[in-house]
Amino acid sequence: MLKTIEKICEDVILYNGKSITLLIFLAALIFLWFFEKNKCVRTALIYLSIAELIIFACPIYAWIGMKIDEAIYYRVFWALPVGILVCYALVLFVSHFDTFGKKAVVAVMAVLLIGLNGRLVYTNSLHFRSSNAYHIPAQVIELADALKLDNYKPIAVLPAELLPFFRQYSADVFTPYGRNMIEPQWNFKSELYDAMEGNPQEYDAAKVAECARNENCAYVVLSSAKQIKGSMEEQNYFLLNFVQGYFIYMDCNYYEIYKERNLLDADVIERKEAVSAQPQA
Amino acid sequence: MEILKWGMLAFLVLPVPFILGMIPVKYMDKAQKTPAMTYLCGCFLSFAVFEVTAVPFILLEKSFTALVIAYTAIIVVLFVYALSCAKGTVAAYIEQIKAFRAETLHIKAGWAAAIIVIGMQMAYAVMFEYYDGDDAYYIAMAVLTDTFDTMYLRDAYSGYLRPLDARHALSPTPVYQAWLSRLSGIAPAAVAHTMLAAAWLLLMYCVISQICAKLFDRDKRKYRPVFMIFIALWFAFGNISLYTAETFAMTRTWQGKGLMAGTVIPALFLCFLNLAEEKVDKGSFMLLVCVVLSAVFATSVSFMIIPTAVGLAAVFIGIKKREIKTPALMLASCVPCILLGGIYLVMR
Repeated sequence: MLKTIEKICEDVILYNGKSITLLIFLAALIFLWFFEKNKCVRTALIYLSIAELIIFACPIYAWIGMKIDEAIYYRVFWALPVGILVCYALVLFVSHFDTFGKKAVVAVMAVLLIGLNGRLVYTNSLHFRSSNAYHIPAQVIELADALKLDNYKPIAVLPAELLPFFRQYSADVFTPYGRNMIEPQWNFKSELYDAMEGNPQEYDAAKVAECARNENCAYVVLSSAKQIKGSMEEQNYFLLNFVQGYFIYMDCNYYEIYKERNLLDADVIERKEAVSAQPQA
Repeated sequence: MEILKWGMLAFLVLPVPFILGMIPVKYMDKAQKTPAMTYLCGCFLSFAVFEVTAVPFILLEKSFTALVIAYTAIIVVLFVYALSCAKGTVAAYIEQIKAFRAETLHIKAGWAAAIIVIGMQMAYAVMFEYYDGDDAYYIAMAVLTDTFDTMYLRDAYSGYLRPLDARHALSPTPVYQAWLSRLSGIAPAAVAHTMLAAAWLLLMYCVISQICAKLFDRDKRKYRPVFMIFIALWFAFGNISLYTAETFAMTRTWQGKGLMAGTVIPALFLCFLNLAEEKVDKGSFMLLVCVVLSAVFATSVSFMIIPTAVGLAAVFIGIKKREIKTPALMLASCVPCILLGGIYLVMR
């Protein structure tokens, strides 16, 4: 039970961040307790919020909730109408002043309180100007289009930075793993992922090729930002395309199988024939 | 061609729910017959109908196409019926427009400012992208659903076949987005990030505007635009941590979790405000049922939050009104949520 209480406190601290939102919320509740006369509002917002606060902080309730899913227990706090009650209390406070000038000054102070206590969501470093309606990086789109075959869904291994986005755009290519692999707390393991991402400076072509074949990958996509120890050609791959900083290699074994079964697009065959026609270094 | 697709998507997301909303609103009192209430009622009705239609198809491992046919047919029937319910509501809108024209310049300016702040947030949602790792599951699931015609039978991260993903299957927001994608021809990522990011923000403010109307009635109505400006700023500055309802509502608007945090829970409080009044109309109960089912549609955390919140509210409302009928009906509205919660616990 002590552990549950600790977890509740931890969730409250994490939820509140470095702000004083919880204090503002409690102040708003106290203010409304004394000044709100409408019985419907008292019942549906004030009493209910207080009861929810007590229930959600109750160790027995929290223990049951955490048994279901400990990681997301903090979401029960969403059921507290924090924003609605705080803003309502602020407007009621503004309305208590008699002249327009006084009301305007207090309203500006209320806006300052909201702004200074909070953090603007748009200044978050994860916000970017979008370049397309999908809201995913343009290179993912070009890469997915380059990997797609009209008559077959191949398997491709991709660099980690593409994993969160690739499958949001296309399901026409299978991937041995996705974003699950880049979340360390989820504890997924893959030898292929280790071969691709284990060394941030360099790919070991032999290791990548071996692991990719174990995972039945027809395509291996490598970032041009990293060096390649050895070459994929030595591992019986050929360079199919270079798209937005990424090399797309195709396994020659899969190429033959797909070709035999008429699964390849004409441009892939053309590219392979062009590569084969080049004199060997 | 592309513009027709976007037009179709906009039609499915804006006018269709708006017309559907005429059904519950028909049974509400005149004060509640507003465009915002109509739109939010229609959205919650469409989510609730999707939940009860989709879950059996998912659990029985039927094809997505079969669900698309069934759900679309139901929506078409409801749409036609809703059109026949519109008469009284449109008359109420006309009266509201006349009443607004008579408002003072201060109030009109206040509303203009509130609309500008909210409009800027919607524009920002369309023009800026926000990286959220969970999209790699939710949007990918919508893409898989549309591509392979199966629901929760493929791993979102690889595309490989897997047993039914029972943890997520009872809250099929991605499947709903796949339905929008199938009917419009717009890719699920664009449906979610460009259309729903803005449309569900609008829905959120529709819910809040109705709460605002409840809080500031009669002589206090002049403060409504001030409240709307404050709340819009509260949401904009709500990123105090990764865990707040405001952060989820503003950065993951299109995900079920964002919908729950920003829209469904405030809608629950709107229902409680309605149900706490002495005279309760049928439409308010219809809305409560739709909101409860929409909560399950949005996220599995609803299995915990909804029975708690509705149960507590039923007790307080029962004490306040000294009656048993309203609390009993409120608790009855939770039955589908509790049943689905039971299925969730058994299947996970």
